[in-house]
Amino acid sequence: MTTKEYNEVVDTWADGVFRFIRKNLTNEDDARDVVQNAFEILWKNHENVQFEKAKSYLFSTAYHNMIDFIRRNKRMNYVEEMDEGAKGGTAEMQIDVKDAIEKALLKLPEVQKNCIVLRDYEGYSYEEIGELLALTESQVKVYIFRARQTLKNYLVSIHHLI
Amino acid sequence: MNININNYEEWMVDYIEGNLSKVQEEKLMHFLEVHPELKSELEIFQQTKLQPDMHMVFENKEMLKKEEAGRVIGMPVWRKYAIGIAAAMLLFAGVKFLSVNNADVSGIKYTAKEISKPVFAFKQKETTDSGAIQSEKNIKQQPEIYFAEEKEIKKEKFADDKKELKEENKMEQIQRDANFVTEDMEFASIDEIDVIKHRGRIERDVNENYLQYTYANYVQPEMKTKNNNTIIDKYNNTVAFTESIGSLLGFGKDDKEKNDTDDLKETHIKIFDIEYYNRKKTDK
Repeated sequence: MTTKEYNEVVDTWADGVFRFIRKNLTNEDDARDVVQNAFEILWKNHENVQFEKAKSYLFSTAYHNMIDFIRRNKRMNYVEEMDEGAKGGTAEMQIDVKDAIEKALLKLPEVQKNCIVLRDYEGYSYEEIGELLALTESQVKVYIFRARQTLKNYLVSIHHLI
Repeated sequence: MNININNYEEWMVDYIEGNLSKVQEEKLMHFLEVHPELKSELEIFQQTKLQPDMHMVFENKEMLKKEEAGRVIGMPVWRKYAIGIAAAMLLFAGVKFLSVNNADVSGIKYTAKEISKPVFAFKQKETTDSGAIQSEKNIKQQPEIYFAEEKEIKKEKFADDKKELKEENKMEQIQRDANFVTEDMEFASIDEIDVIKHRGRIERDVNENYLQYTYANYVQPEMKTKNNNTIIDKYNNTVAFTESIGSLLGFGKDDKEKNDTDDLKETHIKIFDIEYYNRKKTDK
């Protein structure tokens, strides 16, 4: 991959990889650090990484960076974030479906969340998600199913409450 | 496997994921015809399709980018500009050089015309020495004669010595330099410049830092420009400027102390008619 192609990867995928990481790290600066770090690693290896493979290399690097980051900072506030929705009373319940989905998304187990985010945000195939998250295709399919099922149940519960 | 009340969710998810074949889709639709109360569930499943928040972006992507090879990189910004300016000045100098050459005839004319004034002064002094003081009116009646004498002297010198010829060429160059400044530096007008030229002095100065010295001899030092600089300031600024361009490109003014025993690689450059040299020792 040439420098020009590397810069093209920055333009094309920086936002996407940032959104993906941001779904796991509520602190924006942490997410930025992880993304920046991933790009640094991509740059170090840019001569060995083909342009066509750059996206998956980038996402994979960022993902593993993020896992390391979470391990290093075990008391991450993303765990705390999950309880927030439950605390909110019915009066404050969001009618906006999109907001509700975003909240529900944060409650999903990590692996399900990552599967569905990569699937919907980036349009990854099951196979690609499997490669990235070290899962089999059928595992990915099951996780996505469970994620959608949980989200659907959450939405149904909101509809009932309203 | 066929769709039933226990597995319809999987079918619905497969449907919104786009995993169903045409036949399977029809089976699902048929199932919903039979169980219309589940239609709303499919709608809610469709809402689980996440939409990325396009407002969430990685700010300042430029910081992630790298300089491309082939561009001029690794050079401080000021140098890029400096080289740009130097290139522009060289172009300008080239144009100027041509116009100066073209203006040679008129330049000489101008110099010749102006010579009349200092010649008066010179002659006046001479006559003062001899005791017979002439009035200004009388002097003004004779300028052309005196100028003719001066010209003859010059011709003799040309014939006498080749060295003198070289000096003469240098003086012509000095005149061109002077003309260049007077013509292009926004002076009020050429007519206002009082030339107090003293030929003997100029010749002495030729081998020294002649450009500045001689210029002082050509014009009155207190002559002011629009910017309240003296005319000499203007000229010195021009020389300093060309020198800075020269040094930027690695050229220096000619130094006469050249060691003949060294093998030198010499490059010349001419900016505003002033020659700069770049000499590098070469290994034998």
